[in-house]
Amino acid sequence: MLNRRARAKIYFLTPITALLLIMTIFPFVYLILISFTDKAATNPNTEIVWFQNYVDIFRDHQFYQSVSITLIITIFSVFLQIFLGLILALSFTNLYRNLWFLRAIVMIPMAAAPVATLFNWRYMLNTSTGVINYVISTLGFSEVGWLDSKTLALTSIILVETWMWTPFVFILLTGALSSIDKNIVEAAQVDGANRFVLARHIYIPMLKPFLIIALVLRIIDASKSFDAIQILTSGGPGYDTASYNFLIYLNGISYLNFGSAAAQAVILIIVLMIISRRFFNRLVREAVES
Amino acid sequence: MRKSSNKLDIGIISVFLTWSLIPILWLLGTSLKSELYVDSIPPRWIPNFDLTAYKKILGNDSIQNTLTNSLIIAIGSTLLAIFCGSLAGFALGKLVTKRHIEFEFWILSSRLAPPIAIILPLFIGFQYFHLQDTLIALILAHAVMLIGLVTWILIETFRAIPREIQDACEVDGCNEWQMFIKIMFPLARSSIIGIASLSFLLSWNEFFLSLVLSSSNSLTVQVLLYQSIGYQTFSLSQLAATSIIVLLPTLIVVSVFQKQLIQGLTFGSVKG
Repeated sequence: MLNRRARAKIYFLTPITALLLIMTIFPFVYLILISFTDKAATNPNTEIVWFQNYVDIFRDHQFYQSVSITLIITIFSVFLQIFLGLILALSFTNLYRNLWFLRAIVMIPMAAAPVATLFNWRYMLNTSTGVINYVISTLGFSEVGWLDSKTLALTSIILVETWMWTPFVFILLTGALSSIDKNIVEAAQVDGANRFVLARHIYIPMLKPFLIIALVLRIIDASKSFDAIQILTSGGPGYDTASYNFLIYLNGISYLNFGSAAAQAVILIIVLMIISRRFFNRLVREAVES
Repeated sequence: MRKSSNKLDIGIISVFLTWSLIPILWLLGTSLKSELYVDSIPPRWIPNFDLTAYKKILGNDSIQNTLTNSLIIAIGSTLLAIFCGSLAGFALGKLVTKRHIEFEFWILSSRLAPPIAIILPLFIGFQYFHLQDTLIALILAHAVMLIGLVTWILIETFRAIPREIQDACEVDGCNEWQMFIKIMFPLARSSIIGIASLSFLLSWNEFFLSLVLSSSNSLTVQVLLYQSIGYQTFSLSQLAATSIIVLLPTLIVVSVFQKQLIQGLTFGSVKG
């Protein structure tokens, strides 16, 4: 026999539970089931193949290539975002003013529609007609095939991802810095601490938990980034910029190999769940403590 | 000492603002150029303020249809996410004596999980139920993408409402439903408007789910823009004009709802 409050709680939680059951749990169970079959649009008789899809993944050289591409994009772009975001946040804090208008401008790359801004980047990076190459050639250097070779295409993706997501790190860190006790900073300044000493001994230690939050959220998002790859290079040239996430998309949605793509997706989910689970525990612990 | 270090800060901020804004300004400039100047070499730095591209785009049927679709999907998914999210946020923020960590993690995991993982089964499932390429399918898919974020913020919002208000309601003998509708929802109104604007923006900007799930009837403006880049259905200045139109909601949300935008995008780890 449930009391009224417990019953009310169940009613209030029913819509979200129903939505998540239908749209995430059932699909996830189905995903696991088809990952054990050879289901594909071209294959009329679906058969159970057990772990064959999983075995095939690890035999496929493209798996290793796409994982290394994912790691390259994630490591470099997240490092740049954290580094630049931190410098920028410290500069804003040093000015001691509420610069909400400038903050709004800084946030535009992150909040703007990715298709629109990425289209613009593709157009600016174009080898023969792009404005970036025009500027480079007027400075006396030769034109760069920004999206034409593996190294340069990856560099372009990393730079564009950095352009887009540095603001995220920035707002997270400025939010944290605004809660710092001004007296400590002033006391340190009276003692002759310059900006580097302040950053090294006061700001960065204080920001450590937020840097970790930024790092984990950015790693999770960067590892499944899709838009920049799809719009700038479509995974090309060849498969040179096809990250693991992008490879699953090609395999499952473009080539309609449902079974084998499902197995690839299951592996990605497991890895991301492990990362996010640890992260979540940390967030909750901080929320409870605060 | 103080002055020179401020100069360095101003320098860093200016460089960063330039790097953030120039691509957007270049896009705006392109949209305001006549066809002739769009990819001329040397580039025309100052546009000739030709509004033809905007006129053509706004008069185009497929643009109008996809803009309407995007609008319906963004409003529909936002309403659905706010409906489910505020009920759940109230239940988990106010009706519990201790946090349901597992349940909260389950809700949040819908945001952290890779979209590719649910899109495959949804792609197959929507075909099976003849929902493929319908607005309903896209509203559902977008609502799921939003719900983790919305609920996560609303749990915190409801939890922050003082305990005394809840006690006073109970003394007056109102039940949980009345408490939610008459007291708590109105009290949380400003947060809810903010998070709804953020949801609208995220759904409006969404590309991946829409790319996979919509083809003609439910095509969103983002996917149309993407397809037009490849097939060159529109000229460069028209593409740029479409991009600028698509960017308008961003500018509104960034300037009016900055606080909620910050809170939402950082999972509430920053208050904004």
